[in-house]
Amino acid sequence: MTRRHLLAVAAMALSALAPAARAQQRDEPARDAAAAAVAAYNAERTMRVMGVLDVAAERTIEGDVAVLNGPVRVAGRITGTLVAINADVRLAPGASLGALIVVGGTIAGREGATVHGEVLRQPELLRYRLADGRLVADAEPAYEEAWWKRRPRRRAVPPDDRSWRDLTFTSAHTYNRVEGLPIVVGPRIHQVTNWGRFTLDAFGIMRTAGPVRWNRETLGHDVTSELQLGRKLGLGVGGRTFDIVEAVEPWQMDDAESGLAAFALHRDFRDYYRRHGGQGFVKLHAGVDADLTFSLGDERWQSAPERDPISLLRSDEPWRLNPYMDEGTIHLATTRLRVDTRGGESALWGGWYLDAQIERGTGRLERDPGLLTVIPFPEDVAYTRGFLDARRYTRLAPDASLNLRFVTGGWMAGDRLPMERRLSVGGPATLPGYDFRRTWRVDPDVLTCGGTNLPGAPALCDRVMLFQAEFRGDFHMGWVRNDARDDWWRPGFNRHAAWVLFADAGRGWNVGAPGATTYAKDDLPPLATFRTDVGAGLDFGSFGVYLAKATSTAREPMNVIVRLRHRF
Amino acid sequence: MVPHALRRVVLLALLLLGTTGGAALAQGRPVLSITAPGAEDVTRTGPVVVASHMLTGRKMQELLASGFPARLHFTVELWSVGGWVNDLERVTEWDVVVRWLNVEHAYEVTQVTGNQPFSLGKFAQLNDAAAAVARPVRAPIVAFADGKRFYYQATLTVETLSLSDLDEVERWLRGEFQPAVRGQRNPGTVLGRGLKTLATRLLGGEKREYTERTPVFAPGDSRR
Repeated sequence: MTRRHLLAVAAMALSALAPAARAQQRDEPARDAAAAAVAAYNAERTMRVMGVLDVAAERTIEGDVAVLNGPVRVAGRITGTLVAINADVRLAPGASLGALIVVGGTIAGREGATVHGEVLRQPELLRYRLADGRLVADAEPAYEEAWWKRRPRRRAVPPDDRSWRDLTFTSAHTYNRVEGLPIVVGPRIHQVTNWGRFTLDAFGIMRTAGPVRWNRETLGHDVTSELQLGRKLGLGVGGRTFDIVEAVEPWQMDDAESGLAAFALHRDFRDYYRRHGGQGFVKLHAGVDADLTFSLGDERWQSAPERDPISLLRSDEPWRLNPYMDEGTIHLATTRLRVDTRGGESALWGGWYLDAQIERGTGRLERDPGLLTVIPFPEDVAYTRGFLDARRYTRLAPDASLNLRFVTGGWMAGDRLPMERRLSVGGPATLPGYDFRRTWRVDPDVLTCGGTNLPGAPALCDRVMLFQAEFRGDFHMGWVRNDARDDWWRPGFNRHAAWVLFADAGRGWNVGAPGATTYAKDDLPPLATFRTDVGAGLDFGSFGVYLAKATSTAREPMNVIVRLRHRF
Repeated sequence: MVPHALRRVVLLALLLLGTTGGAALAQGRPVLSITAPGAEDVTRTGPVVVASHMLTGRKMQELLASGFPARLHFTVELWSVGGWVNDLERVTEWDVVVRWLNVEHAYEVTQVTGNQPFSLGKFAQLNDAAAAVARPVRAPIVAFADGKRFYYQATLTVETLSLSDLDEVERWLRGEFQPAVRGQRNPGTVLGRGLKTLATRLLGGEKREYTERTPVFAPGDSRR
C-alpha cells in the first residue's frame, strides 16, 4: 500500500472515529491534502462527479462523493466524505457532511453547516490526469531541481505551421517618394510536409505614385520560391526573380516607419534604386532563431527618380530628390548570418540580435559623376563590402533593461563602393541629435561624407561605425481611466509605458589618402571625432516621443523625435 | 454666492458618488498577487500566484459573451538582488484561456502549461469561471541557498482576443485579405470578422498587464 493510500485511509478513519465532533479546518501541507483527495477519488465506492454538484436540502447521499472542477453546493446531507478537487464548496445552513477535503478551492458557509469529521484543505490548484478512470496527480516540478532548466531557451517552430495557399492582394507595407503605395498581387503557396516545406510567393507589383505610366516605372514583380529540408534544423534551396525598388540603407529604419513618415510628414528618410534580376540561394537554418544564407545573383541597377505621391502634410512642397545611383549590371555573391535570441513574447532573459553580411560584387557600372559635367561611361567594378549589426538586450531588473547596439560596415576590399552600397549616419534612427541629411553645422561632414553637397544629399561614406545605448524603465501610466473603468469613450489613459535614457555615438568616413573625412584602409578614426548625442523620452509601445541633443556640436539645436518602434 | 444648503447637497452628492464608485472598484478590480513560501519552505517550494476578478468587468463580460476568448499569460520570475544589477535566476510560464461555448452555454476554462492543456472546468456562470481562473497556483520555481537574496515577480498579461485573431486583425488593417481564404475559414465572414474585431478594439480589447512582486527574502532568514 502506498503512502497516499495510507493517508487516505487515515483521513477516512479520522472522520469515522469522530462523527459528532465539530472538526477544525486545517490547511494541510499540499502533498498530504492532495494525496488524501486523490486516494478518496480513486476509492471503489466513491461517487464521482465532473462539474456541478447540487445537493438539495431534502437530499441525502450515502457514502463518499468526489467532485472535479465543481462548483459544489450542499444544502442536504452527505454521509461520507466530500472531496472537491479544483472546486469551490458552498455549504448552506443545515448542510451535513461526514468529512471534507478541498484541494484547489474555497469553502463558503462553513459556520452554518455541520462537518462531523476532519476538514482538510489545500488552497493550491492540483494538476492531474485521468487514466482508465483513475485520477493521477502530476509530479510536482517544484521538487525537481533541474525542472526549470528544461525550459526551452530557443523558440520553437510555430506549432500552427500548416499548409495553406491563397491569393494575396495587399500593400507592400511601405510608402515612399518613388513608388507611392506599392500594391502587391499574386498567389502564395505554403506546403508543409514531413520532411520540410515548400513555399512560393509570386507577386506582381503596381506602383501608385503619380504620374502613372504603364511601363516598368509602374509595374514590377517579385517571385521567390524555396524548398526547405528539415523543420527545426535543416537546409533550404531557393531562387528569386525580381524587378523592384530597393532602399539603399534599409538598416536604419524599417519599411513601415519610413513609409508612415513619408505619407504623413512628407519626409522620406531613405534613398532608392531599381533592382532587376535574379538570384539563387542556399540557406542553413536553425528554427526561427538563426540562419546562414549563401546567395548568387545577377542583376541590373538603375536610378529611380522620385515622383509625386501624395502626403498628408506639406504636400505642396517638393520631395527631396532621390539621388542618382550607379547604373549597370552586377554579379553579387553574398553570405549572411542572422541570429535572433530575443525570445518570444516575454523576452525573459533579454537576448542577442546579430545580422552580419559580406557581399562580393563584380560587374560594369556607369558611376554617377556627382557635380562633374562629364558623360559617365561603363567601367569594371569589383568590390567587397561587409556589414554588422549586433545588439544585446539585457534585463537588469523586472522593470529595467539596458540595451546596446553596435553597427559597423562598409568597404573591405577592391574598387570604391557603388552608390547603392555607400553608408551614412545621422537622423532619427541613428543619431537623433543631428538632423537627417542636413550637416551644415557639422564640419567636417562625418555623417554623409560630403553627400549633402550633392542633389538629394546621398550617403557617400565608405564606412560607418555607430554605438547606441539605452536604459529603459517600465512604469504604469494612469489618468482618469483604470482597469475597472477603461471604456473607450472615457478621456485619459491607462497603460504601461517606459521612460528611456539614451546616448549615441557614430560617424562615417572614406577610405583613401588621409584627410578630414578620409582614413587609410587599416585605420579607424579617433573616438574624439565621433559625433555624439544624448536624450530621453517616453516609449508607449506603439509610439515613442524623445528629446535628443547633440553633445559634440553645441550649435545643433535640440530635436524632438517621434518613433513608431522601439529605437532598436 | 452659493447657499450653504446647496453646497452641502453638492458635497453630499459628490461624496456618495465617490463612495459608490470606490465600493464598485473594490469589488471588481482585477488583482494579481504573489506570495512567497514561508522561511522554512523557501528552498523547497515556489510562490503562490492568484489572479482575482480578472473576468468580472462589464467590458470583459461583453467580449466573452460575443465569442472572444480571453487569454491570461502568467510569467513568474525569480530574481536575485545584486549591488547594481539584479539577476534573473529562474522563470516559469503558463496560460489560462477562457472562452464561451455557445453550444454548451458554458464558459470553458483551460490552463496550458508547456503546450499541455489542463481543463479547469466548464461553468454556466461567469463568476464560477472567474473563480476557476483565481485558483491559487504554486509556481514551480524555488530559491536556493547560496548566500543570495531573492524576490519573485509575477506578470500577468490579459488579452481579450486570441493571438490568431490579433494577427488577423493586424493583417486586415494592413489591407491584406488573405486570412479569409486561408485554411478552413469561411471567406464570406471576413468583413464581419474585421468589423467585429474593430468594434472590440473600440470597446477596449487591448492587451493589459499586471505585475506584482514579493518582498526580498534570503533562504535561511527566519526573521521574515
